[in-house]
Amino acid sequence: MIFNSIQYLIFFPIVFLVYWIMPHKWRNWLLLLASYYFYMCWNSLYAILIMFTSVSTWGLALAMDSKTDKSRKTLLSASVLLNLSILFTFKYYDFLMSIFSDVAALMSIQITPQKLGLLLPVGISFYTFQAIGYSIDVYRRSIQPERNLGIFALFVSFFPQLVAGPIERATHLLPQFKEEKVFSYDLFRNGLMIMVFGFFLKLALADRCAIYVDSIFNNIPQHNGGSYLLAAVCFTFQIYGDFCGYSLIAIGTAKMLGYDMCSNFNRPYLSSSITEFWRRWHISLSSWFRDYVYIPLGGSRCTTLRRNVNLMTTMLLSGLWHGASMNFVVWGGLHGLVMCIEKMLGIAKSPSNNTPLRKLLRVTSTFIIACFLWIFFRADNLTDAITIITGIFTDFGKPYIVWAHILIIAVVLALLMIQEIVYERGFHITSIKRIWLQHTVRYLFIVLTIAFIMLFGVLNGDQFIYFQF
Amino acid sequence: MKKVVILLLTVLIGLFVVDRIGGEICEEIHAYSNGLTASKYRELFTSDKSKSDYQMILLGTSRCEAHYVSSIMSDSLGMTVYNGGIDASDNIYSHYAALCLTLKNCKLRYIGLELRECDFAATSDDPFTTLTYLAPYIGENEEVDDLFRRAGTYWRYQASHLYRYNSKIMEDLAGYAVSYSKLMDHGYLKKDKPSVAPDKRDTMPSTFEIDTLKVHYLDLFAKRCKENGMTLFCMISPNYDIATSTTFEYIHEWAERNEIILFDYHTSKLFSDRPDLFYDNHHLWHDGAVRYSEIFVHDLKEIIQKEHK
Repeated sequence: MIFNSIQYLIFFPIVFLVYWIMPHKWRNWLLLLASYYFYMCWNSLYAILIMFTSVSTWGLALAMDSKTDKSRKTLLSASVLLNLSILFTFKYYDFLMSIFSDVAALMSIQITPQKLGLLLPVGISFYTFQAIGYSIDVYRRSIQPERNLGIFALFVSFFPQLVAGPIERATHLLPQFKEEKVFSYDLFRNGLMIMVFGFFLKLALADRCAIYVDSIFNNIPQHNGGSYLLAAVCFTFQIYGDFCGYSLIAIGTAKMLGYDMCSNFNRPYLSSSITEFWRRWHISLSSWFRDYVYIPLGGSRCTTLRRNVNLMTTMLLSGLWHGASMNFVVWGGLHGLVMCIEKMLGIAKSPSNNTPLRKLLRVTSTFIIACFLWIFFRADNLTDAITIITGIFTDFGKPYIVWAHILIIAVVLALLMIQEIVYERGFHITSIKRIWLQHTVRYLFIVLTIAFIMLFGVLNGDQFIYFQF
Repeated sequence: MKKVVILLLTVLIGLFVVDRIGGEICEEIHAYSNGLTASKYRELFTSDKSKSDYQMILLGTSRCEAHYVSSIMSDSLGMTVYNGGIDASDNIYSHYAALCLTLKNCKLRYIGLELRECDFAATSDDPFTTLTYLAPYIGENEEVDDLFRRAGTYWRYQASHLYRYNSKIMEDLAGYAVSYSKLMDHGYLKKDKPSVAPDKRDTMPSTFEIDTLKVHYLDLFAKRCKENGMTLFCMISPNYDIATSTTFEYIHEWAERNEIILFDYHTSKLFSDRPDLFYDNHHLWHDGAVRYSEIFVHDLKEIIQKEHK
């Protein structure tokens, strides 16, 4: 089941109503049941995988509690290895085999590796990382192991964030399942508004951009550099609308049920550097890598060389997390490279005495770099990515334009820019805040956003890009 | 909970009001737009005196729109011809809906239907998406409404009037800035010479899995023409590809079964050695369209003259 489907628009109100009607002690069971139903709508067999991940991680973490430090380490290693081996089998095994055969072919050795050809379980990277994060937190004693298997299973499978995050921390989400929730109108209204805005980003921005992006990226030989550039820019907004939209719908859904989830995006395209971009883009994943990979590797409190190695390792792994393809590895690696350069040049952080013009230049150049790097993310393979980038510089011509789509994208982006800039710079202005707090304005926001989606959204139930990860 | 009910009711009522008012505004914009689709549909569907003068209308996709030069056909046949080809109206469902809406207001002598494999073959994507262009005309013809019911989208368009203009409104608005009706020659929209001619031919499958519902609507199309005393002829215009003699075998059989004249320039490989006349693999550019129209109208004229004798 996906958020932008009729099924979800029926499923969620039912869950919402039953949840708030039933007594507190049954609510977690309802959510667990709803979460598994939500997942099983896609593939019922793979629900066993989540169940296995939940039970094994829960059991090993519980065993850690009463053990000595050495045994704890062994149990942590077992938990991490178990989770990673599931992820590896379903996501990376075939990729590794194809690399083996490619390398062997380079050495003139003919190998035909046996591929598994398994269907990738939706959201496996997200819930596996959430489970690994929990195990590490228990090992570090940042959190007591959860004794209730039901609550832990709900933590792993909580339906708003099950298939595409945000990747929640046990320290943040687990305690919330134990609190007695009291219905709050403010939470409901805010959740609804966040959800509606998420749908706007997904349906009116991401899916609209996708039509143009697909028409170019799926027919590369028939287009020129102008079209490639426009498609790259459109994809930059598509992936933002798609993923940020998903996160907002997830956050809004959880809020309406009384749960607070971590923010996943903070206007990333207004970043002054790629380093800052990663503090604003997919925050739950980048902070996960920071806390569980980058810092344990030594972080930045070491020699410059070692710091750069740590950074590159983290970003390469982050790229690989996104998908079993060289494109993602290169994408992650290039981000790491730019971050290393920024750190060496001392431009990773935005200076406090930044002039507006300097800030604008830095934001623009960061946006351009991000745009170009997204090409590796979207292209089907490295050859296509290089063809596109080369085409932009050597075969620039009048782009292929479908005016109806481009005009809609322009209108949506203009609205989004106003919203982002208001939040970035002006939301502290009392007059704006006062207007926003009026009921009429909020009602109007919801009504007009839905009407806008009806008129400009793409309502064909397209998948979210991050589902494939 | 009381506040929640108030919020939801306010939103629902507000949405209903905005939707209906917005729908009316969009309808007005659509009605007077000189956008590509809006102006064509207006020409075909509204009971305008000038339109009822048309004696021949051609229906089909962008291939129809770009391949039949109306003025050449009108001059040669001595009758008024309108090219009603609509870009992306990619199968018989939208052609049949267009026919029903056209016949509501006028009587024609001849109707030409440009066919493609997607008019009879099963496709992996939803074949009814082609109907979305006709959503503004929901409620005007029972048979068209039936098609929307089959597509499963009828209730959506009933629930939201704004949704009927989903994505179309920008094209309609653009029609106020650029008048497509002035750029067209009675529905024919020329394609400019491309910077690079297609260099590689597509390969067409030799057979297709037949979609029986599409064939049913092809039959209905033929039946409606017969009932209205119109002569129906079908065309398969040139394509830059490799087609076998069996590619369109089914449609030949269908035409024979329904006693319909079929002009197949695709299987006969017209222009197969002239990539320079193609805009892309599926469309001729203006020079190609002129040449093709001359050949086609010559063949059609012979048939019409025979019919008169």
